[in-house]
Amino acid sequence: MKFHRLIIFVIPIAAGTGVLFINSFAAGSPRADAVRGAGIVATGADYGVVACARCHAFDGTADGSGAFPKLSGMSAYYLEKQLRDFASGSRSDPIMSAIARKMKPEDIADVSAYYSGVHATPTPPPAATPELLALGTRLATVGDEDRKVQACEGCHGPHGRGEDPAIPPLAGQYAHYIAFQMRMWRMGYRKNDANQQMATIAKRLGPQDIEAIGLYFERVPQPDFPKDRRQP
Amino acid sequence: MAQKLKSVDVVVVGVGFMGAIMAKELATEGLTVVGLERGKKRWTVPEFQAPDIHDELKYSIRKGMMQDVTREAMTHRNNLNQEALPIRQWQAFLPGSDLGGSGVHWNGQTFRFTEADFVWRTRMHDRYGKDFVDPNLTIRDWGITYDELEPHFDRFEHLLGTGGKAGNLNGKIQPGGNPFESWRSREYPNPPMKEQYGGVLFRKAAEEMGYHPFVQPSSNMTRPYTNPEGLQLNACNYCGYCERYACEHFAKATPQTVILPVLLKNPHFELRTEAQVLRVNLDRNKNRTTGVTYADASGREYEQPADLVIITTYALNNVRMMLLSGIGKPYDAHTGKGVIGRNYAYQTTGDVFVFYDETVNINPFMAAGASGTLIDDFNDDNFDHGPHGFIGGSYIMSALTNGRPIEFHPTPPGTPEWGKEWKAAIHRHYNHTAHMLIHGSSMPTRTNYLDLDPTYKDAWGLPLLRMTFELPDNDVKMTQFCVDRAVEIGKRMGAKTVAGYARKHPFTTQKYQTTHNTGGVIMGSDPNTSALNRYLQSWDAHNVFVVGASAYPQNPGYNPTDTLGALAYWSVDAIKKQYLKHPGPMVSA
Repeated sequence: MKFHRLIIFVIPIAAGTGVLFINSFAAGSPRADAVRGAGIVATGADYGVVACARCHAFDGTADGSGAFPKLSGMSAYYLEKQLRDFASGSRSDPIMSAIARKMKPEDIADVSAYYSGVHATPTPPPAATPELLALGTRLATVGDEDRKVQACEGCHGPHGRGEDPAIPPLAGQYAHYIAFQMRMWRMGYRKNDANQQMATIAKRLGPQDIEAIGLYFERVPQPDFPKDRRQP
Repeated sequence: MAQKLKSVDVVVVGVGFMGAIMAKELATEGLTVVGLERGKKRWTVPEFQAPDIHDELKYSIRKGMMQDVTREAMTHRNNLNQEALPIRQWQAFLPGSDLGGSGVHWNGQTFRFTEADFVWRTRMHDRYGKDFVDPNLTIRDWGITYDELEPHFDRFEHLLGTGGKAGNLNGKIQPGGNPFESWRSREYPNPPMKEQYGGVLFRKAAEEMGYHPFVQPSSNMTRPYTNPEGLQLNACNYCGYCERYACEHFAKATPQTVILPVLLKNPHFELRTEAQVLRVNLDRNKNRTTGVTYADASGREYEQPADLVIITTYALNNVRMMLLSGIGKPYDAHTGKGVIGRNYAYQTTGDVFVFYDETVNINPFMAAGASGTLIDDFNDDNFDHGPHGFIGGSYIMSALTNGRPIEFHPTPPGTPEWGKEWKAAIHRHYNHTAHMLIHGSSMPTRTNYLDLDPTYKDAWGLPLLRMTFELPDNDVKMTQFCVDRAVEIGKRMGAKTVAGYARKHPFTTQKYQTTHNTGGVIMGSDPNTSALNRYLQSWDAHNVFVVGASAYPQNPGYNPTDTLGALAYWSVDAIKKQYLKHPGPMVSA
């Protein structure tokens, strides 16, 4: 498969995660400055913005614990929306809400432009029993008629690659993080999607289903990047 | 020789929307009900899941959800002097098949017919005089009034979870709704859909011209909804795969999402799929059914005795089932006598394309089957027909149901139909074209009717249905008038080019119009001109009920499904309250 790679900037970062590709098409805001974004990711801003890389790493891989999500491969549009939602309170998190409220609109745009173009380091697949994997695979790719749950991949794309720009990829995301967010949707703490789609679905799933879906998606390799993205 | 099975109380022939409603109500009464469905079972999971369900070639072009023409086709001719030929590829209309029927691939457009529609003949004569109506039109009153049906409309819309804004609440006109609609007793169960960008441009122009735009009532969910049967539906995500497709998302009201799961849990109900009903059997006196005869997938025949037979096999198949079973006198177009097959009507449609320059992005793919913004000012009897010389009308609606690449490539008049220039024009106009649908009424005539074909037979050796249909002059005039009004709106919308296409003679089965076939087993108050009484009960065999748009004496300019659901609930209510206590004709002939 041939990708049209639009490499605008190649930035050597002193902290040393290697070479980063920055993809202009993933941008949410038309005049976002990914280079400036890289600076905020690395050092934060002196008005209370903590360096993003402290938790999410420079390449968006985060720290492997699953407490912080991988950000690589997400569209700038999606990342910007989440940061704006943290700032406005329509999505809530003790760490992210406080940081996002301090960020200026251009910080949000620039950081999102940066992370939408990074190339994550692959992480080892999590251990899973065959039963859980079978359940996760079925729910993610086929769905369940009895519980009125459609396949996750119906919206999140084949192999969880996302439907840019609004629907995030799930491939390679930490199972713990996916399960944590599903519980947030289910309990009503998170509701910042269109038409309560995720809340409706999460309420029909049990703890084991949620764990299984997370395990399935973490084991799907993240697609090669940058993707052939197109903004409408 | 057919194997005779154990008798049941009720046989429902065809398990689609109407079959499921009738079966569910009667099984809840404790009657033993068997549902005979010619097609296969299918469910949201796994049959309707992506990516397969978005296969445009399979579903839109090759009609993957429709009646199999290699087993059951039908024939068409434009007039009595022609020889009818089989339709080997569905194009003009698309009758569905398999569990859930056409209720699986519908768009979810949910309009009520109006007070005037049910007394159409009386209303036309009273308002315009007897001589105004073309004498060739055989318009009729329905034998029922809107007020009688209102509670049943309400019930059906709450079953479906219809989203909309009331225009008339108990006689009080409401801002934002359709001021021309007949009264409704309460608001829609859900709010209206989001508007497409073309709809926003249309709304602005229509308001400036003094018209009354509103958002189309839709049974694509606008928020998560639990219906009165306890079934939960998801909110629609506007993927634009409704018509000709099934919803993968539990977001479109279909038999599978709003009623079938409840019906199948009822121990008094049994579903038999791949059961092709060959005929409804009559007793010696020919005024009572004894049950049905059907063939299973291997061709083996069974006789299923029943005390009550309900035919819900789609309008066209309902007519054929009555003719194959010999219930009611077939209509004779030469003498005008007989009842089965008469008053066949359709829907008279037109299109208007509004071509913008490249600064206006319409985004046709951001749509749902029933998203749309429309005016009702030129529909029904909502305006004075006196100066125009026709009856009926159309709604004019800005709507795109998606921008699927095989079907959607609008080009302005004068563009070559193939080659380099055509391709360039598609590229130029794809995202910069708004569309208006002109969705008009269809009036019955003496010579538009349905009967059995003398030549062609189906896979079971039974005669095909023959359609004799040509567009009445009245309807051609009507559609031209409404297309002209829509073109005026299109020009006001600020477009460079506006192209209007009104329906013209001759009618062709090879161009898609709508799957709104009506009439043929019509309801009424006179057994000489109608097949059913006001409860959808056969005049000729009192334990046969026929539920379908086949009951419509003529077809108004609204989509037929809402009225159909209301009629089903009205009919089954009468069966429960009157017929089961005193089986016999509920109206004396």
